[in-house]
Amino acid sequence: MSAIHLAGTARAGDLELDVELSVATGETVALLGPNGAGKTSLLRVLTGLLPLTGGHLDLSGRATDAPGQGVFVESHRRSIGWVPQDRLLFPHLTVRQNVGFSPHSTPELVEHLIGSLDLTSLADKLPTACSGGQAQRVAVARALAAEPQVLLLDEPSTALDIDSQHLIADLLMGGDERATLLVTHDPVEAATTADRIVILENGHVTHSGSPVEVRTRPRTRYAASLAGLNTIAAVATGRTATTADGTIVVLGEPATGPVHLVVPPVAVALHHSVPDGSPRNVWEATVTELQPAFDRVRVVLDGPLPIVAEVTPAAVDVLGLVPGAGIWAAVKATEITVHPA
Amino acid sequence: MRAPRPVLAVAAIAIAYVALPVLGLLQRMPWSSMGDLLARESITRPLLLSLLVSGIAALVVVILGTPLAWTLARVEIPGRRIIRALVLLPMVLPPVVGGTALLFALGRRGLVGQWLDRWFGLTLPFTTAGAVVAAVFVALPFYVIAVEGALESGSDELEQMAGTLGAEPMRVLRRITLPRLLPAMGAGMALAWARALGEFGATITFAGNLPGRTQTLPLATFLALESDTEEALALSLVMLIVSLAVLIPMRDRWLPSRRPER
Amino acid sequence: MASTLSCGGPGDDDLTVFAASSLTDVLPDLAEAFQEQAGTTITTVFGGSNHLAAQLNDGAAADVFLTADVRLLEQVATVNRSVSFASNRLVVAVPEGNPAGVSSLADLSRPDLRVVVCDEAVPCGATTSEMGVTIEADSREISVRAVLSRLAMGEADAGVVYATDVAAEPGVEPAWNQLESCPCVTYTAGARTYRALPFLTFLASPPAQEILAGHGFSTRTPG
Repeated sequence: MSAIHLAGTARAGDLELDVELSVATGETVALLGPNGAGKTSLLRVLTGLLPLTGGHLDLSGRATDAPGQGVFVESHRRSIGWVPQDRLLFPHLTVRQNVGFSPHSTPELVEHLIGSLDLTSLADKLPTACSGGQAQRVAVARALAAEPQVLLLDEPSTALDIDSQHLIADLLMGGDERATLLVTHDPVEAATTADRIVILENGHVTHSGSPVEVRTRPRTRYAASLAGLNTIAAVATGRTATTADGTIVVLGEPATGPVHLVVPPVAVALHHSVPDGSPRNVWEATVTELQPAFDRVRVVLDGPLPIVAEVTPAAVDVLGLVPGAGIWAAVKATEITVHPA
Repeated sequence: MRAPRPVLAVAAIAIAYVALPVLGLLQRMPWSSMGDLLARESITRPLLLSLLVSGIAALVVVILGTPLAWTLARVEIPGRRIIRALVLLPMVLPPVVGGTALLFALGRRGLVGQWLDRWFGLTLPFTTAGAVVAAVFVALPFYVIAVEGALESGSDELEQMAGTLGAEPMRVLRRITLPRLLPAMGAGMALAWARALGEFGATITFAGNLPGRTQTLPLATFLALESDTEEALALSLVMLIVSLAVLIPMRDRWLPSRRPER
Repeated sequence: MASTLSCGGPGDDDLTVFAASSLTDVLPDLAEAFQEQAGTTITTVFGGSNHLAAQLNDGAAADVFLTADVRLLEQVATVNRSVSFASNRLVVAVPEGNPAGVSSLADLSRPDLRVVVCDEAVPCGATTSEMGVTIEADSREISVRAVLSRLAMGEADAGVVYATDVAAEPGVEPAWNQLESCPCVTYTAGARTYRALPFLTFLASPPAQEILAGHGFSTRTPG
């Protein structure tokens, strides 16, 4: 059953939100997007703090917001748990009173949550006594105490200590009866906790799929940047495209008009001297920076085509890569994916 | 931060401006006979009446003023600006004009007063209740300003959060809005009470002047000035002490805005 | 509270008169008549008698002090001659039409009546208390004007005011024919300089008395 079914429009300041989104019971969806994309506004639509201007929203199969039919269910009558970015704990109530604030909560559940999230020692203290991580746990406990059918988390792991992250993650694991929508900017968190990723850009959903799908087949520049891919703006005219610097890039597939060229860093081959062989893009570049990335090294290159390559640490030694060194770079035309801009 | 000299100098002048008349008053006090004076009925009676009238007026102001402040701050009603200006009018209106207006509205032949008289036999002028009505009229704006100010400067995020947790509006008001509003309500009430205590023009014009029933401290002081200067000074001292007793404990809370608490 | 009436330029022939507020209507006429007779212009300052006395004690330069409160005259240091020149009767007044049917002094103690009087601290109030009847007042106003206002608005059923005020106020009338009743308020003129003596004489003279009578004042001395 669909816990969230949204197909509607809303307006938040200058932003026009036009979203189709479905989340099933038991599903965890990560919502990613650049700043200003409308992620928080989308959450506000679901909580009832931002009414739709068109379309409809159903929560747990119940019509909740349909301006065309004059339907609008108030926030306090929706079964939603909301943990906002700034938590909004009630400063004049103790931790226990915060957690148990919802009229739907029961004392037993409250105590259980306080215990599960290791808040027992803080239960009778005011929120000011809590650290960032503790406050986040209180906010999550408070939302869960109401036993909501939909749980909305806005940047839950930002500036959170490891213990808190684990405690919260463990608790959220057992959410079979609810749908969870998690806003994050961290693709790793999205990939590890979510069943599905939805990307929101400029008020529209640009991608909805499994984490692997989004990583390997990014459809927009933002999606690509999430996966650590190079994106280059250019204007395509058939089999070639010209960048802003005037460099001509040979494409694997024909295209026209403004485009984004996506090149995985591993596809950038580095050589001592001019390589020969099949038609591809070859140029002389300068190393500006070396970035260790776990068991690889990312080489930031400047030149006619600014790009980032990824090589093994051994290759760095062999090729003598140091900042300021010259190196030949090559990218096969077939490794370049072309996205319309 | 070290304050620049000119600022401190002007501040000192401002303090002197207020302090000097008080010092002048204290200097003229008949201290030797003060004990006997303060025991006189002509002083204790207006004192008790003033405390009664201003105390009741302060409570009425809180009861009427809190929903009003909340509505002005949170509800989108048409003509909000005009309503707000109307509510603040008694602050600007000369009190005697206010009292006269009250007579035209609630006096025996007043707009509403005539019906109160005819149907219920209820009249307000010449009664203690009338003194309370006049006091509430002038004091209400002070309370509304303080509370509305606090509601406006603070945001309603916490109220929204409470709503998403399932609390319906009255519960949100009771458990979130009002407890956080308490400091502003306290400060507003103190201001309103102080204004009610010092009220003269509207009281004497509307309620009249009768010892024990409508003669509050300011009225008694004014009349004492006409006949018995020592008594007038003693009454002034009483008013000074009573006012300070309320204002000093307020410490730094004048028109408090909500301190951002996260 | 204070106003100035000036009938000409400054000079040696110029008297400054401090007068109680209740003489506001009649004094201009008296000043005019005096100027015609003696050529001296009069500058008047009106106010509550207590305040004027306080100013005189602080050194205000007035030639004449007209007040209903003789005790004040005695307190003001430099008065060296005085004369009573008029009296004003207190009457029981009612709103136009006498809605409560007040017909005698005894009515003033009726509990259902709303009666207003002047407070004792002001001259007309002090005199009211000498009327020899128990008055269940609902309010003791701080000025005669306030009492009149209550009557004119219909807020009070009866009040005690000056006869001169009743004559001047449209919405107020005497409760019954109260000619020659007393107690009264007596006005006394106190001279503070020798130059002022002619004015005192004038006040006691028939022409001045006629003007005073025209405004509703009674003879110089009660009787």
